[in-house]
Amino acid sequence: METYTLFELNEHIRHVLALNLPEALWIRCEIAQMNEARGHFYIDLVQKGEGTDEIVAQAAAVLWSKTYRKLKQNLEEELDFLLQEGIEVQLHAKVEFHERYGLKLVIENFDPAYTLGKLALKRREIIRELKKLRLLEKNGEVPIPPVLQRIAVLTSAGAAGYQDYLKQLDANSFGYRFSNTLFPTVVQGLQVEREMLAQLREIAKDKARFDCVIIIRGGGAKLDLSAFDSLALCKAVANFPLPILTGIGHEVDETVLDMVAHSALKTPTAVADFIIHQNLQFESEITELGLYLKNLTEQVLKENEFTLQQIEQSVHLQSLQKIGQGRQMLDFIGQELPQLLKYIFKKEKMQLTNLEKNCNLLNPQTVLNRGFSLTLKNGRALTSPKQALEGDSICSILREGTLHSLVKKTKDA
Amino acid sequence: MPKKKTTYESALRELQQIVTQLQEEVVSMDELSGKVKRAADLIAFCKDKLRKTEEEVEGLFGN
Repeated sequence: METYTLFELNEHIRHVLALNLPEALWIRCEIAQMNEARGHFYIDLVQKGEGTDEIVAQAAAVLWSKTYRKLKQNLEEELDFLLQEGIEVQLHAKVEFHERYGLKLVIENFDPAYTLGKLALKRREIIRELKKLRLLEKNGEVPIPPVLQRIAVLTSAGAAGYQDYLKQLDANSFGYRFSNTLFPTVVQGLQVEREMLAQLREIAKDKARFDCVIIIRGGGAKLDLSAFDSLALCKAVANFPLPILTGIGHEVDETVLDMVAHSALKTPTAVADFIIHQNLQFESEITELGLYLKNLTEQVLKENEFTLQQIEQSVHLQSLQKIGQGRQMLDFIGQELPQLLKYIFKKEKMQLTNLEKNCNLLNPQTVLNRGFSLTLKNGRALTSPKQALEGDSICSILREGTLHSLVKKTKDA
Repeated sequence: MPKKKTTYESALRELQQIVTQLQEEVVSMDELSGKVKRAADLIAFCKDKLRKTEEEVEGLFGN
C-alpha cells in the first residue's frame, strides 16, 4: 500500500489544480469579509443560497497590492466600491494551492458591469415597490415652510460637499442666517442605510426644532451612490414628517432617494441655493405685500381726500345757496308785507265808507224828508194798530214838527 | 325784539305765520301794528343772522 506524506499529498493537489485550472476564471460571488494589510486585501468569498442567507460555498481570496494598484488605474473609485463587504462581484481569479496555506483565489480583475447590473436590478425592484406603496410622491406632499432656517443636515462631517454647502449658504447676499445641525453619518458603503435610519429617527424625535432635513454628499463614483438605493432608507424618507431635500452630488444619475425626496437637487451647493431662493421668495412676497399695502393705503387716503374736498365744496356752495334762499325769502316777505298792509287798509277804508253810506240810508230823518211819519205812543214807535186803544193819546213825528192826536178807531190792515 | 333764544328757524316760522294771518285777514286792526312791528324785527333778526353766517362760512372755507 502506497502512502504519502501530507506535503506529498498537497503537492499532488497543487499539480492537479495547476494542470486542470491553468488559467484565471470568472467567478460570481459575494464579498463576505475583508482585511487589508500592507496594501494586500485578504478576502472571504461566499455564495449564498437562492433567496436565503445560508452559505453554500466559501473560499479565501487575495488581491495583491501590485494588482490593486494596476486595477485602480482602470477602475478608479469603482474598485473601492467593489471592495466592500456585502457586495456581489464577478471577479477574474486564478486558483492557487499552496502546500502549507491551502486553497487561495488570486484576484486578477473585476467586472464592475456585473455589480452595476445587479444594483440596477435591485434599484428597479425598489422603485417598483415604492410605486406600489405610493411612496414616491409622499414626502413631496409635505408642505415646505416658507422660511427655511433651522436645518438638520445628514452627511459626514468631513464631506467636502458639506463645506461647499455651508460656504454657499454663508455667501448669500441677502443677509440670511441659518442654523445647521449636523447629524453625522457615513455617506458611502453599506453602513449608509443603518446610520442614516438611526439619525432620521433622532431628527424625527425633535422634528419641531427643524424646518427641513437635507441629505448631502459630494460627487462620487456611480457605484458609491448605490448606497442610497435602499428600500428601507427610501421608505423612511418618504414617510418623514419634514420635507427632505437631497443633494447627493452627481450631475447625471438620480438615486432612488432623490426620487422619494421632497426636492432633489444636483449638488450640496444647489441645495444651499434652493434654501436661499426659498427664503428670498418669501421675502419678495412680503416686500411685495408691503408695497401693495402702501399703495392701497395711499389710494384710500387719496380717495378720501378727494371725497372730503368734494364735500367741502358742496357744503360751501350749499350753505351759500341756503343763505341766498333765505335772503330771497326775507326779501319776498319784506315786499309782501307793505302790499298786504296797503290792501288791508284799502279794504278797511272801503268797509267804513259802506257802513257810512248804510248809516245814512237808515237815518229816520231821511225817511221823514220823503213824507213818511213816525207814530209814537209813550215815546215808543208803533208798528201795529193793536199797540193802541181807542182814546189813547199818540204823537206823530213829521219832517217839520210833531202832531199830537187821540185814537178814534183801530183797524187791522 | 325777539327773545334771546330765538333761532333763525323759529323766527322764519313766526314770520310766515304773520304773513299767513295777514293774507287770511284774521288779524284785527288793533293787533295789526303790533304784528307788523314784530315782523319787521324778525326780518332784521333773520337778515343779521344770514349775514353773520355768510361771513362765518367765507371765513371757514377761506378764499
